[in-house]
Amino acid sequence: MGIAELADAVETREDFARFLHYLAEKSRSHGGKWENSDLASFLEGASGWTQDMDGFFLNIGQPVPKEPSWGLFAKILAAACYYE
Amino acid sequence: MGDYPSAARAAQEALKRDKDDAVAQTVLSLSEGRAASGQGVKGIPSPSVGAQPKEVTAGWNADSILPVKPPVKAGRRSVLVPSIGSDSPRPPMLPASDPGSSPLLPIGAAAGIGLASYGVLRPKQTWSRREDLGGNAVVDPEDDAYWKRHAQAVMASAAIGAAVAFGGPWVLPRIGAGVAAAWRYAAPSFQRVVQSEFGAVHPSGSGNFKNLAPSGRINPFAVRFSQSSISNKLRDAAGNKSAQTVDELAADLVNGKVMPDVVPPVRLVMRDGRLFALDNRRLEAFRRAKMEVPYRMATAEEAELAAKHGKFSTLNDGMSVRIRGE
Repeated sequence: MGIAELADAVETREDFARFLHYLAEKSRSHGGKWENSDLASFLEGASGWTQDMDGFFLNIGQPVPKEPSWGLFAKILAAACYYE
Repeated sequence: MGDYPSAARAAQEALKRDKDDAVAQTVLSLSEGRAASGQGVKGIPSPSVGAQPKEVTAGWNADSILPVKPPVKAGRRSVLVPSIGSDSPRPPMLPASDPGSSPLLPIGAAAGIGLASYGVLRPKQTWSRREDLGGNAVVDPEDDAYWKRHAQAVMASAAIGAAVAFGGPWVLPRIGAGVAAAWRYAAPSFQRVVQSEFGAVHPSGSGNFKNLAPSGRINPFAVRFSQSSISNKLRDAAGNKSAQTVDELAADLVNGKVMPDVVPPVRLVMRDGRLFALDNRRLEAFRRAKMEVPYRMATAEEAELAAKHGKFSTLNDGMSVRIRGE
Protein backbone atom coordinates (compact mmCIF):
# COMPACT_ATOMS: atom_id res chain seq x y z
CA MET A 1 0.00 0.00 0.00
CA GLY A 2 1.33 3.41 -0.91
CA ILE A 3 1.07 6.78 0.76
CA ALA A 4 -1.99 7.82 -1.20
CA GLU A 5 -3.90 4.61 -0.47
CA LEU A 6 -3.01 4.84 3.20
CA ALA A 7 -4.19 8.45 3.32
CA ASP A 8 -7.50 7.41 1.75
CA ALA A 9 -7.97 4.86 4.53
CA VAL A 10 -7.49 7.37 7.37
CA GLU A 11 -10.67 7.94 9.34
CA THR A 12 -9.71 8.18 13.02
CA ARG A 13 -7.01 9.89 15.05
CA GLU A 14 -5.25 6.50 15.43
CA ASP A 15 -5.28 6.01 11.65
CA PHE A 16 -3.77 9.42 11.22
CA ALA A 17 -1.03 8.69 13.77
CA ARG A 18 -0.13 5.48 11.92
CA PHE A 19 -0.12 7.38 8.67
CA LEU A 20 2.28 9.98 10.06
CA HIS A 21 4.61 7.26 11.26
CA TYR A 22 4.59 5.65 7.81
CA LEU A 23 5.17 9.02 6.17
CA ALA A 24 8.18 9.68 8.41
CA GLU A 25 9.70 6.35 7.41
CA LYS A 26 9.09 7.01 3.74
CA SER A 27 10.64 10.46 3.98
CA ARG A 28 13.94 8.80 4.79
CA SER A 29 13.74 6.12 2.12
CA HIS A 30 12.02 7.59 -0.95
CA GLY A 31 15.34 7.89 -2.78
CA GLY A 32 14.72 11.30 -4.32
CA LYS A 33 11.31 10.41 -5.75
CA TRP A 34 9.50 13.01 -3.72
CA GLU A 35 9.12 16.43 -5.25
CA ASN A 36 9.56 18.05 -1.82
CA SER A 37 12.14 16.46 0.45
CA ASP A 38 13.15 19.22 2.85
CA LEU A 39 10.72 20.47 5.48
CA ALA A 40 10.34 23.94 3.99
CA SER A 41 9.41 22.73 0.52
CA PHE A 42 7.17 20.00 2.01
CA LEU A 43 5.20 22.56 3.98
CA GLU A 44 5.02 24.86 0.97
CA GLY A 45 3.66 21.98 -1.10
CA ALA A 46 1.08 21.29 1.63
CA SER A 47 0.06 24.94 1.59
CA GLY A 48 -0.25 24.99 -2.21
CA TRP A 49 -2.39 21.88 -2.38
CA THR A 50 -4.62 23.06 0.47
CA GLN A 51 -5.35 26.16 -1.61
CA ASP A 52 -5.86 24.18 -4.81
CA MET A 53 -7.71 21.12 -3.51
CA ASP A 54 -11.06 22.25 -4.92
CA GLY A 55 -9.77 21.52 -8.41
CA PHE A 56 -8.61 18.05 -7.41
CA PHE A 57 -11.94 17.04 -5.93
CA LEU A 58 -13.91 18.52 -8.83
CA ASN A 59 -11.70 16.74 -11.37
CA ILE A 60 -12.32 13.35 -9.75
CA GLY A 61 -16.02 14.04 -9.40
CA GLN A 62 -16.13 14.25 -5.63
CA PRO A 63 -17.60 17.04 -3.51
CA VAL A 64 -15.15 19.51 -2.01
CA PRO A 65 -14.93 18.83 1.77
CA LYS A 66 -16.58 21.57 3.77
CA GLU A 67 -15.19 20.54 7.14
CA PRO A 68 -11.66 19.33 8.01
CA SER A 69 -11.19 15.70 8.99
CA TRP A 70 -8.37 13.29 9.88
CA GLY A 71 -8.66 11.87 6.42
CA LEU A 72 -8.35 15.30 4.80
CA PHE A 73 -5.26 16.09 6.86
CA ALA A 74 -3.73 12.86 5.62
CA LYS A 75 -4.57 13.73 2.02
CA ILE A 76 -2.93 17.13 2.39
CA LEU A 77 0.28 15.55 3.66
CA ALA A 78 0.24 12.88 0.96
CA ALA A 79 -0.18 15.52 -1.73
CA ALA A 80 2.60 17.62 -0.19
CA CYS A 81 5.13 14.95 -1.14
CA TYR A 82 4.67 15.57 -4.87
CA TYR A 83 2.90 18.91 -5.28
CA GLU A 84 5.08 21.48 -7.03
CA MET B 1 4.52 48.19 -94.91
CA GLY B 2 7.40 46.66 -93.06
CA ASP B 3 8.81 47.51 -89.72
CA TYR B 4 11.34 50.00 -90.99
CA PRO B 5 9.10 52.50 -92.76
CA SER B 6 11.74 54.90 -94.00
CA ALA B 7 14.08 52.18 -95.23
CA ALA B 8 11.22 50.31 -96.83
CA ARG B 9 9.94 53.46 -98.45
CA ALA B 10 13.38 54.21 -99.83
CA ALA B 11 13.67 50.66 -101.11
CA GLN B 12 10.31 50.93 -102.79
CA GLU B 13 11.39 54.16 -104.47
CA ALA B 14 14.58 52.45 -105.62
CA LEU B 15 12.63 49.50 -106.97
CA LYS B 16 10.33 51.83 -108.89
CA ARG B 17 13.39 53.23 -110.59
CA ASP B 18 15.10 49.88 -111.04
CA LYS B 19 13.06 46.80 -110.30
CA ASP B 20 16.20 44.64 -110.41
CA ASP B 21 17.92 46.58 -107.69
CA ALA B 22 19.10 43.69 -105.51
CA VAL B 23 20.00 45.89 -102.59
CA ALA B 24 16.59 47.49 -102.53
CA GLN B 25 14.93 44.10 -102.75
CA THR B 26 16.96 42.81 -99.83
CA VAL B 27 16.25 45.84 -97.72
CA LEU B 28 12.58 45.57 -98.41
CA SER B 29 12.58 41.87 -97.64
CA LEU B 30 14.45 42.39 -94.43
CA SER B 31 12.16 45.17 -93.36
CA GLU B 32 9.20 42.93 -93.85
CA GLY B 33 10.73 40.10 -91.92
CA ARG B 34 10.34 37.75 -94.80
CA ALA B 35 13.89 37.47 -96.04
CA ALA B 36 14.25 33.74 -96.02
CA SER B 37 17.37 32.32 -97.51
CA GLY B 38 17.72 33.57 -101.03
CA GLN B 39 14.40 35.28 -100.92
CA GLY B 40 14.38 38.77 -102.25
CA VAL B 41 17.62 38.52 -104.11
CA LYS B 42 18.26 38.10 -107.73
CA GLY B 43 17.04 34.81 -109.19
CA ILE B 44 14.55 34.23 -106.45
CA PRO B 45 11.02 35.57 -106.51
CA SER B 46 11.05 38.93 -104.91
CA PRO B 47 8.53 39.96 -102.34
CA SER B 48 5.67 41.99 -103.42
CA VAL B 49 6.08 45.62 -102.69
CA GLY B 50 4.11 46.75 -99.67
CA ALA B 51 3.29 43.23 -98.54
CA GLN B 52 2.25 42.93 -94.92
CA PRO B 53 4.26 40.68 -92.60
CA LYS B 54 2.80 37.51 -91.33
CA GLU B 55 1.50 37.72 -87.82
CA VAL B 56 3.70 35.53 -85.71
CA THR B 57 2.02 33.77 -82.89
CA ALA B 58 5.08 32.07 -81.53
CA GLY B 59 8.40 33.61 -80.74
CA TRP B 60 10.12 32.18 -83.71
CA ASN B 61 9.25 32.70 -87.34
CA ALA B 62 10.41 29.60 -89.12
CA ASP B 63 10.31 31.40 -92.45
CA SER B 64 12.55 34.18 -91.33
CA ILE B 65 16.33 34.43 -91.01
CA LEU B 66 15.76 36.94 -88.24
CA PRO B 67 14.23 35.92 -84.97
CA VAL B 68 11.05 37.75 -84.35
CA LYS B 69 9.84 38.54 -80.89
CA PRO B 70 6.44 37.21 -79.97
CA PRO B 71 3.52 39.50 -80.35
CA VAL B 72 3.21 42.01 -77.56
CA LYS B 73 -0.39 42.29 -76.61
CA ALA B 74 -1.72 45.76 -76.22
CA GLY B 75 -5.30 45.33 -75.34
CA ARG B 76 -6.62 43.00 -77.99
CA ARG B 77 -4.15 44.05 -80.71
CA SER B 78 -0.99 42.16 -81.42
CA VAL B 79 2.10 44.08 -82.52
CA LEU B 80 5.06 42.43 -84.13
CA VAL B 81 8.41 43.51 -82.80
CA PRO B 82 11.48 42.47 -84.77
CA SER B 83 14.48 41.36 -82.83
CA ILE B 84 17.42 43.45 -84.06
CA GLY B 85 20.96 42.39 -83.65
CA SER B 86 20.18 39.03 -82.20
CA ASP B 87 21.33 36.16 -84.32
CA SER B 88 21.02 33.41 -81.79
CA PRO B 89 17.81 31.46 -81.85
CA ARG B 90 15.66 31.75 -78.77
CA PRO B 91 13.45 29.11 -77.23
CA PRO B 92 9.77 29.41 -77.76
CA MET B 93 8.08 31.51 -75.13
CA LEU B 94 4.85 30.73 -73.40
CA PRO B 95 1.99 32.87 -74.50
CA ALA B 96 1.25 35.69 -72.13
CA SER B 97 -1.66 34.99 -69.87
CA ASP B 98 -4.77 37.03 -69.74
CA PRO B 99 -5.88 36.92 -66.14
CA GLY B 100 -9.34 38.05 -66.98
CA SER B 101 -9.95 35.07 -69.20
CA SER B 102 -8.14 32.43 -67.14
CA PRO B 103 -10.17 29.24 -66.92
CA LEU B 104 -8.65 28.79 -63.47
CA LEU B 105 -10.41 31.87 -62.15
CA PRO B 106 -13.55 30.14 -60.82
CA ILE B 107 -11.51 27.25 -59.46
CA GLY B 108 -9.11 29.59 -57.73
CA ALA B 109 -11.86 31.78 -56.41
CA ALA B 110 -13.66 28.74 -55.00
CA ALA B 111 -10.45 27.48 -53.45
CA GLY B 112 -9.76 30.87 -51.89
CA ILE B 113 -13.25 31.18 -50.48
CA GLY B 114 -13.12 27.61 -49.23
CA LEU B 115 -9.78 28.05 -47.51
CA ALA B 116 -10.79 31.36 -45.99
CA SER B 117 -14.05 29.89 -44.74
CA TYR B 118 -12.16 27.02 -43.25
CA GLY B 119 -9.84 29.44 -41.47
CA VAL B 120 -12.83 31.20 -39.93
CA LEU B 121 -15.09 28.28 -39.17
CA ARG B 122 -12.56 25.78 -37.89
CA PRO B 123 -11.42 27.75 -34.85
CA LYS B 124 -15.03 28.64 -34.10
CA GLN B 125 -15.91 24.97 -33.99
CA THR B 126 -12.97 24.32 -31.70
CA TRP B 127 -13.87 27.27 -29.56
CA SER B 128 -17.44 26.15 -29.09
CA ARG B 129 -16.29 22.77 -27.80
CA ARG B 130 -14.15 24.20 -25.04
CA GLU B 131 -15.96 23.93 -21.75
CA ASP B 132 -14.92 23.58 -18.17
CA LEU B 133 -16.01 20.80 -15.83
CA GLY B 134 -19.27 22.55 -15.15
CA GLY B 135 -20.09 22.87 -18.85
CA ASN B 136 -19.33 26.58 -18.96
CA ALA B 137 -17.34 28.16 -21.76
CA VAL B 138 -13.66 28.41 -20.95
CA VAL B 139 -12.06 31.81 -21.24
CA ASP B 140 -8.79 31.34 -23.05
CA PRO B 141 -6.06 33.49 -21.49
CA GLU B 142 -4.42 33.64 -24.90
CA ASP B 143 -7.57 34.92 -26.50
CA ASP B 144 -5.93 37.74 -28.45
CA ALA B 145 -3.08 35.64 -29.73
CA TYR B 146 -5.53 32.87 -30.60
CA TRP B 147 -7.64 35.03 -32.90
CA LYS B 148 -4.65 36.85 -34.31
CA ARG B 149 -3.18 33.54 -35.38
CA HIS B 150 -6.32 32.58 -37.20
CA ALA B 151 -6.72 35.96 -38.81
CA GLN B 152 -3.25 35.48 -40.25
CA ALA B 153 -4.19 32.01 -41.41
CA VAL B 154 -7.25 33.36 -43.20
CA MET B 155 -5.14 35.97 -44.97
CA ALA B 156 -2.64 33.34 -46.00
CA SER B 157 -5.44 31.17 -47.36
CA ALA B 158 -6.87 34.08 -49.31
CA ALA B 159 -3.42 34.82 -50.75
CA ILE B 160 -3.13 31.24 -51.96
CA GLY B 161 -6.60 31.45 -53.48
CA ALA B 162 -5.67 34.64 -55.33
CA ALA B 163 -2.50 33.01 -56.60
CA VAL B 164 -4.56 30.14 -57.96
CA ALA B 165 -7.08 32.47 -59.52
CA PHE B 166 -4.65 34.76 -61.30
CA GLY B 167 -1.79 32.39 -61.75
CA GLY B 168 -2.28 31.62 -65.46
CA PRO B 169 0.36 29.23 -66.78
CA TRP B 170 2.53 29.93 -63.73
CA VAL B 171 -0.08 28.78 -61.25
CA LEU B 172 2.02 26.08 -59.62
CA PRO B 173 5.10 28.24 -58.98
CA ARG B 174 2.85 31.01 -57.71
CA ILE B 175 1.08 28.68 -55.34
CA GLY B 176 4.48 27.51 -54.13
CA ALA B 177 5.60 31.08 -53.60
CA GLY B 178 2.33 31.88 -51.84
CA VAL B 179 2.66 28.94 -49.48
CA ALA B 180 6.31 29.80 -48.80
CA ALA B 181 5.41 33.41 -48.06
CA ALA B 182 2.55 32.38 -45.84
CA TRP B 183 4.81 29.95 -44.03
CA ARG B 184 7.37 32.68 -43.52
CA TYR B 185 5.20 35.63 -42.61
CA ALA B 186 2.13 34.08 -41.04
CA ALA B 187 4.18 31.73 -38.87
CA PRO B 188 3.47 30.32 -36.42
CA SER B 189 -0.23 30.65 -37.10
CA PHE B 190 -0.21 29.11 -40.56
CA GLN B 191 2.17 26.40 -39.45
CA ARG B 192 -0.09 25.59 -36.52
CA VAL B 193 -3.13 25.29 -38.77
CA VAL B 194 -1.29 23.06 -41.25
CA GLN B 195 0.35 20.97 -38.56
CA SER B 196 -2.96 20.48 -36.83
CA GLU B 197 -4.38 18.88 -39.94
CA PHE B 198 -1.51 16.42 -40.02
CA GLY B 199 -1.95 15.40 -36.42
CA ALA B 200 0.83 17.34 -34.74
CA VAL B 201 -0.51 20.34 -32.87
CA HIS B 202 -3.97 21.77 -32.65
CA PRO B 203 -4.22 25.55 -33.13
CA SER B 204 -5.78 25.93 -29.72
CA GLY B 205 -3.05 23.89 -28.10
CA SER B 206 -5.37 20.96 -27.50
CA GLY B 207 -6.52 17.82 -29.13
CA ASN B 208 -4.86 16.05 -31.95
CA PHE B 209 -1.66 14.35 -30.76
CA LYS B 210 -2.08 11.00 -32.43
CA ASN B 211 1.34 11.18 -34.09
CA LEU B 212 3.22 12.38 -31.02
CA ALA B 213 6.53 10.56 -30.47
CA PRO B 214 7.24 8.98 -27.04
CA SER B 215 9.91 11.62 -26.45
CA GLY B 216 11.36 14.66 -28.14
CA ARG B 217 10.62 18.36 -28.08
CA ILE B 218 7.27 20.08 -28.22
CA ASN B 219 5.81 23.55 -28.32
CA PRO B 220 5.22 24.33 -24.62
CA PHE B 221 2.01 26.17 -25.47
CA ALA B 222 0.55 22.94 -26.81
CA VAL B 223 0.84 21.37 -23.34
CA ARG B 224 -1.50 22.05 -20.45
CA PHE B 225 -0.75 22.46 -16.78
CA SER B 226 -1.96 19.75 -14.44
CA GLN B 227 -1.78 21.93 -11.32
CA SER B 228 -3.75 25.00 -10.44
CA SER B 229 -0.68 26.68 -8.93
CA ILE B 230 3.06 26.03 -8.67
CA SER B 231 5.88 27.22 -6.46
CA ASN B 232 8.21 29.69 -8.14
CA LYS B 233 11.19 27.74 -6.76
CA LEU B 234 12.64 24.80 -8.64
CA ARG B 235 14.03 21.77 -6.86
CA ASP B 236 17.54 20.40 -7.00
CA ALA B 237 18.57 16.82 -7.72
CA ALA B 238 18.04 15.85 -4.07
CA GLY B 239 14.45 17.00 -4.16
CA ASN B 240 15.09 20.16 -2.12
CA LYS B 241 13.97 23.55 -3.27
CA SER B 242 16.87 25.23 -5.02
CA ALA B 243 17.65 28.91 -5.13
CA GLN B 244 16.75 29.04 -8.81
CA THR B 245 13.32 30.34 -9.70
CA VAL B 246 11.17 29.62 -12.73
CA ASP B 247 11.98 33.06 -14.10
CA GLU B 248 15.71 32.56 -13.65
CA LEU B 249 15.63 29.24 -15.50
CA ALA B 250 13.73 30.93 -18.33
CA ALA B 251 16.36 33.68 -18.48
CA ASP B 252 19.20 31.15 -18.47
CA LEU B 253 17.55 29.29 -21.34
CA VAL B 254 17.20 32.48 -23.33
CA ASN B 255 20.76 33.69 -22.82
CA GLY B 256 22.27 30.25 -23.37
CA LYS B 257 23.58 29.62 -19.87
CA VAL B 258 21.41 26.53 -19.72
CA MET B 259 20.94 24.37 -22.79
CA PRO B 260 17.44 22.89 -23.20
CA ASP B 261 18.81 19.36 -23.46
CA VAL B 262 20.37 19.64 -19.99
CA VAL B 263 16.97 20.23 -18.39
CA PRO B 264 15.23 16.95 -17.49
CA PRO B 265 12.38 16.28 -19.91
CA VAL B 266 8.90 17.27 -18.85
CA ARG B 267 6.75 14.20 -18.30
CA LEU B 268 3.49 14.28 -20.23
CA VAL B 269 0.25 12.38 -19.84
CA MET B 270 -2.67 12.19 -22.26
CA ARG B 271 -6.12 12.77 -20.84
CA ASP B 272 -9.17 12.83 -23.10
CA GLY B 273 -6.99 13.69 -26.07
CA ARG B 274 -5.31 16.52 -24.19
CA LEU B 275 -1.70 16.68 -23.18
CA PHE B 276 -0.90 17.58 -19.56
CA ALA B 277 2.47 18.13 -17.92
CA LEU B 278 3.44 16.49 -14.65
CA ASP B 279 6.38 18.91 -14.33
CA ASN B 280 4.61 22.22 -14.41
CA ARG B 281 7.48 24.48 -13.31
CA ARG B 282 9.74 23.41 -16.14
CA LEU B 283 6.87 23.79 -18.57
CA GLU B 284 6.27 27.34 -17.34
CA ALA B 285 9.99 28.16 -17.64
CA PHE B 286 10.06 27.01 -21.28
CA ARG B 287 6.86 28.92 -21.99
CA ARG B 288 8.47 32.08 -20.66
CA ALA B 289 11.61 31.38 -22.68
CA LYS B 290 9.42 30.69 -25.74
CA MET B 291 11.48 27.62 -26.52
CA GLU B 292 10.48 24.07 -27.39
CA VAL B 293 10.51 21.93 -24.28
CA PRO B 294 12.12 18.47 -24.06
CA TYR B 295 9.50 15.90 -23.07
CA ARG B 296 8.85 12.23 -22.60
CA MET B 297 5.60 10.43 -22.08
CA ALA B 298 5.14 9.48 -18.44
CA THR B 299 5.03 5.83 -17.51
CA ALA B 300 1.71 4.38 -16.37
CA GLU B 301 3.10 4.20 -12.84
CA GLU B 302 4.10 7.89 -12.88
CA ALA B 303 0.73 8.93 -14.23
CA GLU B 304 -1.12 6.90 -11.61
CA LEU B 305 1.05 8.21 -8.79
CA ALA B 306 0.50 11.83 -9.90
CA ALA B 307 -3.25 11.34 -10.08
CA LYS B 308 -3.43 9.69 -6.65
CA HIS B 309 -1.37 12.44 -5.03
CA GLY B 310 -3.63 15.25 -6.15
CA LYS B 311 -1.57 16.52 -9.09
CA PHE B 312 -4.57 17.33 -11.27
CA SER B 313 -5.91 20.35 -9.45
CA THR B 314 -6.35 22.67 -12.43
CA LEU B 315 -9.66 24.48 -12.57
CA ASN B 316 -9.28 25.94 -16.07
CA ASP B 317 -8.43 22.83 -18.04
CA GLY B 318 -4.72 23.52 -17.72
CA MET B 319 -4.80 26.68 -19.79
CA SER B 320 -2.79 28.67 -17.24
CA VAL B 321 -1.14 28.29 -13.86
CA ARG B 322 -0.78 30.56 -10.86
CA ILE B 323 2.75 31.07 -9.53
CA ARG B 324 3.05 31.07 -5.77
CA GLY B 325 5.67 33.38 -4.33
CA GLU B 326 5.89 35.84 -7.21
